[in-house]
Amino acid sequence: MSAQSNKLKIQGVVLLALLLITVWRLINTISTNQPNQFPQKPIQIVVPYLAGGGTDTFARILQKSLNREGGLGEEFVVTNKDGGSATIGSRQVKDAPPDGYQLLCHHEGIIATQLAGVVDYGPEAFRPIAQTGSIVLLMVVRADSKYRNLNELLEAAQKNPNTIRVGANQGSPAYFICKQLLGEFPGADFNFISAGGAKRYTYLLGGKLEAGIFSLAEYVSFRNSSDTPAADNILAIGNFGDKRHPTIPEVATSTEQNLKTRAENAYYIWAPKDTPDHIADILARTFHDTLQSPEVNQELQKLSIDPTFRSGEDLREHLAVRVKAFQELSVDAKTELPNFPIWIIGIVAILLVAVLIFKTEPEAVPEAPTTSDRIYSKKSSMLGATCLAILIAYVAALQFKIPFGIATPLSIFLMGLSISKAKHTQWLIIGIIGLGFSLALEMVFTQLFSVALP
Amino acid sequence: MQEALLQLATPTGLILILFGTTLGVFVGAIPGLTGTMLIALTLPLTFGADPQYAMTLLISIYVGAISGGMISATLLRMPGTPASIVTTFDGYPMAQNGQPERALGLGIMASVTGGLISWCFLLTLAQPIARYSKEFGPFDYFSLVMMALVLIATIGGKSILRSLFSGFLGILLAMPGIAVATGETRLTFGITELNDGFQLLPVLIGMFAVNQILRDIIDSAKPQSTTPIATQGLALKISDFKNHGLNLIRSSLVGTWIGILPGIGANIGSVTAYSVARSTSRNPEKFGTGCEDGIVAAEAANNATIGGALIPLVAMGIPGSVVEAVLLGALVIHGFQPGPRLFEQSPELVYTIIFTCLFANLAMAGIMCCSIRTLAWLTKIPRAFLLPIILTFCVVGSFAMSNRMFDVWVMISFGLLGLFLESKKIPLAPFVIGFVLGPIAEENLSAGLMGSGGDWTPIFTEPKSLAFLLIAVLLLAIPICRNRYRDWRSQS
Repeated sequence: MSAQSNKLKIQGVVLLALLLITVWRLINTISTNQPNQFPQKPIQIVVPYLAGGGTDTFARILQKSLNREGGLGEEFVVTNKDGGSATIGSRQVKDAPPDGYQLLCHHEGIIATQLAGVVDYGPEAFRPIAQTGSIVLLMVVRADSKYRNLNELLEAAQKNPNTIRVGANQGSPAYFICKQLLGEFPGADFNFISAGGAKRYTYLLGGKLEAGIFSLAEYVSFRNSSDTPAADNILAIGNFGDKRHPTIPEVATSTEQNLKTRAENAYYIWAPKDTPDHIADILARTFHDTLQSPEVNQELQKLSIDPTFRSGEDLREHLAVRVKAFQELSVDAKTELPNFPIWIIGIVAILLVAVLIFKTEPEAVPEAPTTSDRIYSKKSSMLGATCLAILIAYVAALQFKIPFGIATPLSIFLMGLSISKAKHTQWLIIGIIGLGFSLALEMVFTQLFSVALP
Repeated sequence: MQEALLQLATPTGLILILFGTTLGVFVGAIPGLTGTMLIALTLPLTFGADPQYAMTLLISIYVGAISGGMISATLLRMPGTPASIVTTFDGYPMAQNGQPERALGLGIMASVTGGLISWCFLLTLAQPIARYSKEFGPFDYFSLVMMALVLIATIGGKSILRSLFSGFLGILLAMPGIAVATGETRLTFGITELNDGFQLLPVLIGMFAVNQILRDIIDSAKPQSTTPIATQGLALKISDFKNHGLNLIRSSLVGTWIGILPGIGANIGSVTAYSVARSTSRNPEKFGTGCEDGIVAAEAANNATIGGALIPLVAMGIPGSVVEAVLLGALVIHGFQPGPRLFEQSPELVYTIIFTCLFANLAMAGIMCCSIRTLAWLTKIPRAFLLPIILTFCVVGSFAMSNRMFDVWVMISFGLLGLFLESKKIPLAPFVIGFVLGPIAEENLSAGLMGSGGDWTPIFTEPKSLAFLLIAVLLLAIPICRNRYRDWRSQS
């Protein structure tokens, strides 16, 4: 009997301790919010792509250096909001409060998505803080291709329009470069085939594409050593940058090939439109200093990104030029693709009708339910509904910004109580589980992985 | 090669492998948390570390997580990863029949064998095999995906019609958002959050975990019919290897070859292997009721895809799955240039990756075997403690992938949809496979049609594409014909 009460006592003490920690943490987070100079809390850099991708890698290199220098006294945190051709992340920052705590790291895809009609906003909906690096773009063919320069490729596209297969998603920056090139050769046209990233490379080697646009970093990593058979290697035939790049001095620029098309891609830092000047200045200066540091330079060199920096008026002018270059081109879908959604809706509807008509083979007649069964089934669906209601209330609470540390233990506790039918022998343990678990989860995510929980 | 082995054999190397694999197994076993998420989140932590150790840790997590998904699939009918959906078909019924340890034991044996067989290919044939993946054109991919869809329809439930309905419903619900080929938004009804469509993770968690939890909660009100847990331990005998030998090797080969193809991954691997095992079995009707062959086929194949998918990664720098894409990012961050030249430029790193794959598979077997008793106890933890926690994991997992509450609501809605579909006897596995494969099929069909100028005939004239379609027809026809033949014999 005393062992029993001892156990209860221990459980009570543990519960109390966890409760205290939770309260202490909550007070801590609330009390640190005093208005003063910028920045007062960690600054989020939103990356509109998955962790591990090109933009993410770039942002994290900057973040590492920003935090090491400790220039601002507050941490920079990278948050990934991928999806929707990068519009999920960009929309979030566009709609964020203009206080400098949410920044977007994105390249010129932000111009392309507007012109392709994916979203109705472009660079004008943001305050550009800085250009923090530029990427060299190349036209690449298989090494045994008969097209040895841009002119040969385009003349072929002019002679036999729609026969040269080029890998580019409609509305992507690569697509716009091609349109720009085609504009210089009246009547020329490419057959655009959607193929992104690594697939573009396999298709190129497999002879399913004649050409594709790659970044310098991609080209350097995909290129084989020069002694591999030409059919297994790739070759850059044009550099769209201002001048030849030291990594590949043998590749002539488009200007040298007497073409007007010039293109590059660049990473920019964007803030919400109404961000005040003094905050924008502080941020621009911080990014400028970071780009100067030798560590960042070294890392960027590995990725073949040039640490070009622009800010203020210079940056605005540069962006205006870039937007204009994009605007002169139009997106047009050529190959009529079947309307897939209609097809699938049709098939689903037909199958649904079929399922309804052909009731499957007569099923075994279920045994007549006994009264006790009926009582249980009523009780159990009540229980299911209760728990579902708790779950929905919990998620709604999180949605309305009730701290994770309060909502989570409460929901676990209530759900546990309903499932255990409020057995008083278990409520202590359920309480401990709820508090301990939510504390541990919060620790792991915010401290270790630096991911913000709701 | 020696250098890589020496570095792995140091205490740090071994501890990293053990730690990574254990972490992977447990995270993979928790519905709502996936290996992809863990690897993406761990990556920034390795920035400062030695690149070889960093890759060791990440790959150990990968191997652990794919294997760990089997645990919750078998014990709770909640696949920890999409790759273990097929494991629920036979693993869960077997655990319900009172043999959870045997089910897990078979799964572990199959996982290790699959991992080791695909590892042999990874070690010896990485480069020549990777070359083969470039032979695949868009129509070939499309036919391969269609084959997998037809297969899942034939194995997922009793009625092919219902399975097909479920599969196409999955494809339909994968359509909202931005169309891959044209970049236009569609079926979003003006909801901007839908621009990105429904994400796989919340859909998967909703369909399987939330649905199952609600079901368990409802069941918990009824008087508990405690299934006796036979404590025969692993109960693996030498004869098991003999009985399942052919199945093990065949499923591993299927998994390896399918793993090599970029973007296809572990899901199709396990579906195909399971389907082949069933069509060639003497007792196909036992599949789905707790059949040993089913567990073996599914688990051998999904682990074999890891070795398979690593082949294009190390040989050509092409990611075979989402996880591999993150691993590729890790290589770049640590200053390597993934691609065909990786072998020449940093052989020590390539061999580190290859041998980590081997050691992590062995470590995974050890860890799972040691913890199998504890794991089987999962089924005995009072529901009042277990279910709220899993549900919280589901909420946090759905949220943390892209940091938005919309995904959590998606998860709950799909949980209810799953509950509804199952109550109408419509199987869920085809739904999720359709959801995963629909966009891949569409992307490749679009690319193919753009290339051929809208001409459909290459689907039947390209040899590889035709071969996949024929295999699909064959695998469909064999069980049907055999049943007819049996009926005819029993009548005469």
